[in-house]
Amino acid sequence: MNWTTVVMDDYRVPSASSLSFLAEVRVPLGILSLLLVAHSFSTLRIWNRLHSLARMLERFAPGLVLLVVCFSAGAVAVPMLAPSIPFGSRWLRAPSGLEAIGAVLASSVVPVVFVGASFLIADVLLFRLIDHMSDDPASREKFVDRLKITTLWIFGTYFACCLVFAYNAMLDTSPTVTHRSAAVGVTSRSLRAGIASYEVWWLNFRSWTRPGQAEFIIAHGDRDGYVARAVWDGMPLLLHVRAGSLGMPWVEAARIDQTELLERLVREIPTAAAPRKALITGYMTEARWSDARRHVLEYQALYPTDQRFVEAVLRSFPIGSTRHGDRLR
Amino acid sequence: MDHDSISPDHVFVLLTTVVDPMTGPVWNGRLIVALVIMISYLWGYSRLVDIDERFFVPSPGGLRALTLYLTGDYAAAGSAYLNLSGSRAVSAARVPSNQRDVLVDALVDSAIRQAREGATGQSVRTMHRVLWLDPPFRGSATTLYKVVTAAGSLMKVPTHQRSSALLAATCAYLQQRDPNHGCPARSYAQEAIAKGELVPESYVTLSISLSDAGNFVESRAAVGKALAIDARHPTALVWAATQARRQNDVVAEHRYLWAAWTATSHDPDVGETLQRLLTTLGDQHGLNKLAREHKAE
Repeated sequence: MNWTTVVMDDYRVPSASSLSFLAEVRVPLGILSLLLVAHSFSTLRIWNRLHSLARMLERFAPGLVLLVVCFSAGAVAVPMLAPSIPFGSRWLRAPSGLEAIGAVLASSVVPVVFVGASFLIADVLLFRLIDHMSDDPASREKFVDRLKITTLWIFGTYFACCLVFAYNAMLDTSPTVTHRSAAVGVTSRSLRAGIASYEVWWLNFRSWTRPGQAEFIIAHGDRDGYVARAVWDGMPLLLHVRAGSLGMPWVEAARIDQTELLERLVREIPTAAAPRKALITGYMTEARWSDARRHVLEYQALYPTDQRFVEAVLRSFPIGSTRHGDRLR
Repeated sequence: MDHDSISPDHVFVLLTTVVDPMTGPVWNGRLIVALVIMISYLWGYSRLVDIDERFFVPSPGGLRALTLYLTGDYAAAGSAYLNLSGSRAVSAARVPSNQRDVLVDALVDSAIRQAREGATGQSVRTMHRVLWLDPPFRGSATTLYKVVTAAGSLMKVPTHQRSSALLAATCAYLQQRDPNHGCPARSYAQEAIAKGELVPESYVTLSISLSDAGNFVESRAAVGKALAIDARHPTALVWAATQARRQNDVVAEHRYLWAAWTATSHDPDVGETLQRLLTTLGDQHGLNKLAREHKAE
């Protein structure tokens, strides 16, 4: 998680297609970043002084490879074989013995080291390939320079887009406008490579600007108040949208429309007391007195013995919002 | 040579120079071998990291059984694991079981028995009762090994002769315990649907498998297809209600549970779930209706 991720996830500009590219591009950019780090490491000046060490490391690569093979088999085999060690050979199972080795191998230390080493080797091989592509050092240098400039442009464009989003939202002083919509579903994109995994959930909803079409934003559990996997087709949503200082509307939050949800529940299950009470309370909070009164009367007809609730609700109605005679009809 | 344009021949020669350790610089070859092995290791690590710990029986026999399982020989793996299940190694790895684990064991046992007796449809429906249980539940190690064996035996039968619906259900069970690379339950469910074998049940298996993978919209669409074939299908209705509950879709849950209550001829488990929902909703009229119907039996 870096600041660009925060910008993308927090200042969500709804889109039908184009903006999704910016979030999806994180994975190749992440790989490119790791290659750049590996390149910085492999071209450190210290390697000029430690040239013989570097050569030796490379010379003993077969030995290291053999070690890698032992690691890969040992991570699974050692913990399984440890219990079958004869009782007399306890020293093999001691803290420095097989079990300890197995514990280290089975932990995530080895994969982390391997991921780093893989990127380093990939970088070295890539630049050796470039070296082979030209006999002329000048043209080789030119090629490397072009590669660096291209990489800088890619990163620059991405960060510029993030800055635009951040500027559009952070400096936005416009009021929040609430639009009614409904979820169409969620789309999950995930990638797993070794120990590294990446997952992003997109929330698809009916567009409030283009009827009949869907738009999507990155799902943000903390902001929206629900996890993406709980979304179902037709789930009522309230989209809190702000205009954006650069004129790009962005979604502050896509919350569940609780009132609509309760209305549906009461329509489907009229005898359910709990959602109707919650709906009445919701209407009163929104000062929708006539709706609240209608439901109180319906509730009273269904549950005539629960006078306490009816009385308590009607007492909280402001004077003039209802006729007193309606209460106990 | 024109350095600004690189011909395909030139690239080929250079690539073989770098990639082929026999003709190219020895050091590059060694680095490539190291890289390939590390990538293989990382692949292997990701293959094993999410697997149920009961697949790792700490003994040489356990290592053999795991190897057989990973290579896809489920029948041999299941037998190897079952041979170990009485051993000290499995007992040492055993976690105390709770009431739900006992239920899982009983249900899987009866599903396997029903399959042996030829009641394939009933066996699939019994497996569904295990598959839609909410975690945490595990069942015993022996039960897991029995399912591995059952799946392996079904896999060995030629496609046109085997019960793909049952294979899909057993695979869905294994997939819950080896989520990333387990038995391909979805493929077998689709195979069963294509063969016209227990189609609504196979759609339910497909739906459960999709739900386990986090594809909830597709999962609900799959159970919708089962209900389109038979709107009163008991298993499909119960799973649709479970799915709706997991997504907090109370209206759908309520609708499906009432339908399931009728379709299952007043199954006590469905009745209990419906009673719980009606209590949460404060629906006294619904509770009275449920009690009347229960009493009328």
